[in-house]
Amino acid sequence: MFAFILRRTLAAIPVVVLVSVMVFSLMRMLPGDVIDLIIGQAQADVSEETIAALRKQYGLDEPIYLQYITWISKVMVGDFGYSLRSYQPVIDIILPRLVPTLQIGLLALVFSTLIAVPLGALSAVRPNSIWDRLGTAGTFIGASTPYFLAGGLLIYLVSLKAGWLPPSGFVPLTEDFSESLKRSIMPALTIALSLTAILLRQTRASFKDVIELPYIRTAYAKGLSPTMVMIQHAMKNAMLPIVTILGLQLGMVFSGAVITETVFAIPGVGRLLVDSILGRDYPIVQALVLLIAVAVVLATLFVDIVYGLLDPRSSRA
Amino acid sequence: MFTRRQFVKAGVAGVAGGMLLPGFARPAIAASRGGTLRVALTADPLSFDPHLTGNLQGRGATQAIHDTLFGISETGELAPMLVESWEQPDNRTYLLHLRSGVRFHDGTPFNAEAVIYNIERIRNPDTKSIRAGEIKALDTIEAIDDLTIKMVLQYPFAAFLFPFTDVAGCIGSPTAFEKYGVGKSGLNPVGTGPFKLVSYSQDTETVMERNGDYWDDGKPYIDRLILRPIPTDSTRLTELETGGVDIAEGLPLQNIAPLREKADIIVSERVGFQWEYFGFNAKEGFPFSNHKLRQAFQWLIDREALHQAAYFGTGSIGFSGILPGHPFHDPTYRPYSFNMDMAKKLLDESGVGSAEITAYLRPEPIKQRAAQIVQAMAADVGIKINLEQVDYANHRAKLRSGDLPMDMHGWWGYRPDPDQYLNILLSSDGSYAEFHGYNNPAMDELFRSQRAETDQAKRRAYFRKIVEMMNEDAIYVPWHYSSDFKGLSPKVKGFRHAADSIIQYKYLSLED
Repeated sequence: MFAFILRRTLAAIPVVVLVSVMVFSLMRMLPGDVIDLIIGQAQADVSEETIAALRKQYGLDEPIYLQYITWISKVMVGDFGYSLRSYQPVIDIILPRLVPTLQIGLLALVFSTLIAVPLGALSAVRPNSIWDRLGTAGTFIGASTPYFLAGGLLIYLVSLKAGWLPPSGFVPLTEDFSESLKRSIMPALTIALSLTAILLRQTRASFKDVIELPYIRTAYAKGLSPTMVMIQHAMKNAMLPIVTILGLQLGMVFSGAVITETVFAIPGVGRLLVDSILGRDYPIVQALVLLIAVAVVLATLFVDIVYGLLDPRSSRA
Repeated sequence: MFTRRQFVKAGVAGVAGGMLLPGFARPAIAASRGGTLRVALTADPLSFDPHLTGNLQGRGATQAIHDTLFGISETGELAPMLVESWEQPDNRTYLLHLRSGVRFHDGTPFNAEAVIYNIERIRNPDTKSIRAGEIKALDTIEAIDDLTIKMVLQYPFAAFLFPFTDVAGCIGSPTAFEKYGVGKSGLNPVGTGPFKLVSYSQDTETVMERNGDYWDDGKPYIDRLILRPIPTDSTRLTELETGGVDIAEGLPLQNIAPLREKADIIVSERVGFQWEYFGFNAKEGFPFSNHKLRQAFQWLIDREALHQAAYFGTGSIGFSGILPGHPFHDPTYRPYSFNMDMAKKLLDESGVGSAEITAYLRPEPIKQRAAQIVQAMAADVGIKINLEQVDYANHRAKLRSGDLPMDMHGWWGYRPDPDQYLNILLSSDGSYAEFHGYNNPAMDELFRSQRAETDQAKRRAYFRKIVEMMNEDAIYVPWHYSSDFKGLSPKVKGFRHAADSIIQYKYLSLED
């Protein structure tokens, strides 16, 4: 198992490096930079000398490959540089932003698991029942509703019409537990919507495959109740693909955060990424993409390991 | 006590506006003290360094912490602020008499030395201040005594003092600037203003507290100020409607009419916040190097339809770059009307035949709606306009490169003197004029003349000629004046809707 983990970890490093090179080059290829943005917003008459001096100060006048080498060599020693817009160290900006994203993302995963796994299993055991139809309709709606629409509708219905929850903002759990939960529920549900759709279909398919296997029929023949058959026998095998999907959904949590955090004005990494791309704040974009890439790679690795533990045959493959 | 409708009318009339500073007489009503005012902004301030800040939110927050040298009166004239009075011995010299007894938040005294330090900081190339262009006419600055400054200009410039009503005139503590350096001063601001910065968390909130030693007559009234950036229009509005914030800026235009019917929200409107234009690239090789083709747009644009469709009937149609509410604005100046026959005639005379142009749009719904309407109108006379949306940085880069055939822009945010933006757009050495390939010696001469003139009536006449020449040359085709809208909770008192949209927090109080 150790060799397996090591092999997978080493294989992940080139992926992360490749992602960083791609993002670095793509961002630099976009027309316009932070100087354009600042001057454009101020609508000021700024001389070409000042623009050139600002570019030099930010290192934007150097060739892209040199900028990359400077950046990656600093990253190696843990220095992600300074934000071009607010002059704060990138790491000081990003670290606090992980808290809301992870909190809401985890809550979204919990919501989607709590809804999708029981409903998916039920749909598989009772095809064409009301639960199955509900699941199919829910999947369709969940998969096809964009985050901004789901978020906007929730704000309109839950905050404005019903007045149950505050419409935006974030409070950390450690500061005020109940306020934190109140402000996290709607964004978590927004992200959970599409997660649930995928997870539900996967759970249904997975359970359907398993319950048709001979050993399940044997379990029934032994006189076990349907509930016991599901929990004791079907669950372990059916959960294998579900665990995979859950792990891979981390990437979806980040992509969902990009829109959701803007709609709900949550200071997480998703909103930071949007603002930084639009603001051409390269040091933040680069650090964030690297961070997200590492997180997704680690999640995939984690899934592989769990998979290996659940089914030892896979780690020998 | 104003009713809601009266309040709106007052805003429209400009009574609530101006940037209105000390000396503006009002009935003495004792304002309530204390409380926390929460404000929803459209974007994060990002920096509080007055010499580096760019966006409107940064300018607003910076002005809560730093006082400006001058204010603007209700009638658009310069008003006292940190400068208590001033003289102009000749058309190139100014003597400024500073307010005495004012201290920075760090306890250091405000004096002539501090003002000179700030202005030299803007002028110092090492600061790389984007405000340097605003005061480039300045030749020498010296202290006559501790509270008197003498400024001499390189050339006569009637509008020279106006930038000092905005961030270029915000005075920060030299001790703090020295301590933190150019980079870190942005998050460690020390001014003389009504509020002190307590904490800043990007995209979350900016918290300020009352400056208990403020020089201005017991102000400010509120204890704490929280600025929350909420980028989505509907979320910002919901926060206002559910009581999460007390003031929301940037109300979505489609919501204005229904919001005005609500009893628990006050809609404040300030007409004349920005003007919209279609800008054309007159450089050789671009279709709009043809004067007649540009002029055709003056007639083929149905400004009234654009006003209704793009702006939901808010603001007003416009024909010049001088905004309503400004002393130089003439509401009777309406030189063009929607006339397709005239447009077709000019097109025939242009000899261009049919043309295909790509117009780049910034990600603003108003621009998109307007552009689609103009696209249809232009198609009627055989001009095909392709629309392409780009983000702000990309738009600016394209504009700066001089590669935009057609530019759907607007001067965003009021400036108290038209010279402050028209010169950039129309003088041959103005950056925007260069982007558009515009160079007209007669126009340059008009600018030189109005700058040398101190008589306001004569300056007004010069600006009329400038606007007429702009329309005749049709490098920019103005079509709309938009309003600034703010939503207020009825418990917010003392609100004065400034023409530049910047909230003057020191006048605000909260009452239940």
